[in-house]
Amino acid sequence: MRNLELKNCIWLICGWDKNDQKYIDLLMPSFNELAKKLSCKVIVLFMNQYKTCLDDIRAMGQIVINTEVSDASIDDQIEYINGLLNIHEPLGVFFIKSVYSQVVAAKLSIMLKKGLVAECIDVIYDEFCNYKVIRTSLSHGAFVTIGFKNCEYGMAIIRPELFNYKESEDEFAKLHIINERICRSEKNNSITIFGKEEKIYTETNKLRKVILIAGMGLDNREKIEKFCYLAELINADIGCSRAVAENGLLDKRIIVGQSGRVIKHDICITFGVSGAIQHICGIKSKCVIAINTDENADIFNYADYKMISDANLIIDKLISILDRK
Amino acid sequence: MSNMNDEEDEKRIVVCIKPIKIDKKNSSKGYEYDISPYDFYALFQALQYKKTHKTQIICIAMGPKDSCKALEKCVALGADEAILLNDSGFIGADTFSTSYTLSKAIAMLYPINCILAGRKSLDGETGYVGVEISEWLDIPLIMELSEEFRLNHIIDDYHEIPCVVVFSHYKDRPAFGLFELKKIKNARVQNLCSEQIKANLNLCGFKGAMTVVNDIIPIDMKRESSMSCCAVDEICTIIMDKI
Repeated sequence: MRNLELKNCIWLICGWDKNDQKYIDLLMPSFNELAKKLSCKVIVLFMNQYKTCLDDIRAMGQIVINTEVSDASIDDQIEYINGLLNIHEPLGVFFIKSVYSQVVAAKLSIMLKKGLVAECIDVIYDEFCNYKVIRTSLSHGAFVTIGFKNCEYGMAIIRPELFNYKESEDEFAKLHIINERICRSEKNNSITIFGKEEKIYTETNKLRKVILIAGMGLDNREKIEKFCYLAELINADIGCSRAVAENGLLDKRIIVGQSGRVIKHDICITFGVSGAIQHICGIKSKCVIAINTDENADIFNYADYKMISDANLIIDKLISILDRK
Repeated sequence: MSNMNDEEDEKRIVVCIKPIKIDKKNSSKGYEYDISPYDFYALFQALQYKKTHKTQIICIAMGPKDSCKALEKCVALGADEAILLNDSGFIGADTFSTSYTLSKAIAMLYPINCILAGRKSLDGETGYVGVEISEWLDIPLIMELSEEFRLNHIIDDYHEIPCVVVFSHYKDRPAFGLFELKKIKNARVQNLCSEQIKANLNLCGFKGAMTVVNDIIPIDMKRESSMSCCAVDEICTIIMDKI
């Protein structure tokens, strides 16, 4: 590491989630642009080792520290990152959201006395090249721009599903790769993270074209069973609002929205969904068809097709049409 | 039937509560506040543990005076003590200064067995105050527990106490009956200021915050409906065409 100048760079720390490899390439154009503005380089600190060819990253000659974690504890990893950041005085530190990165970032924020912003969906800079991050605040139904104070640099956790990725014409370029290894220390582990729930669906899974979303218009098990049967008939994914999952009608892991997942299917059909902003923010489909009996339901403000009808009648009718085929 | 052992040492559990402002404002009584569902899940776990163990549950929150209403609800549900951290110096806090202030107050409550927190609040959605408290207090952190997990697995089996337990699940507070409403009326919430918790005001509130909100832009995700219809057959035809 001694031959490379690592001081005053932007750090992008990731690698705890299997999707991070894909997100790095998507994030690099934004970070290359930020690095140009700040006249610095981007250092990608990849924990757990990048498994495929590092030349696949559109990184424009930036630096990748490829760290083998093996059996090192999360405490060891935090200490290692803390050491690197203390020595190299970054201009900004960003993490890709995962259970581990949230713990690491929160611990480091206190250890290094730096500001930390969650759910970052964009990075911007002002005329003085001070960067700020934008996050969503759904209680206020707003995007919030947040700057840093009382600290030389700030930290942010990127929400990759919602991040405002920039297009890039940049060619793939040779990277400076540094291979590192963290050893397990003898110290007691102070952090215990039990099994992370497996997501039923991730962005890397092959997307189906259509997703059906159940809202509280489908308020009992029989209606939900028909809804699931319809999804099976048209080979669609299924999702639900938080209220449906809380009532035990569908699995919490398929909640769509701020506290759930973000969906990007071509067509999204909502059945009896009212349209709370916490739910709507998770729908990024090209075409939204909303079915609700209440013509004033909020969902219609976010739909391309406004269908005022009982969602259960529509489900029954669609099933009968498809069963006949 | 309780299998509580009278000779058992009393356990002390601190539950961090984020009071959530509810939209409606009652002009005479100020804003209404409730318990964040993630924090209610933590409180619920403590209350379940209390059923079989001699336990003192202390709920703690930071917020404006009105937010004591969320803590009163905690007492009505079975918490033994409620503490509201309220001081003009605490206003404008971010997670850095919030976790500092809470950890100073929690340190005053020692000896305790564990500190429980919900992973995030429904309004802020930042999700790391619990983690940061464990760092300020330099105590172990346990998180990402399954729904089958019960508190006795930690208090009775885990030897490194105190520790911070962060729950990822949420639970809505049950509706209050007359009995609980009466309890809310009689609930007492202790107010503590910066001096009482020996907090350094340079690390509290806006002064101690490391982040600052520069701008708020309303989210406009609205779409113009290209078609509107009510007839079942017509709706089904459109959907069939689309899929």
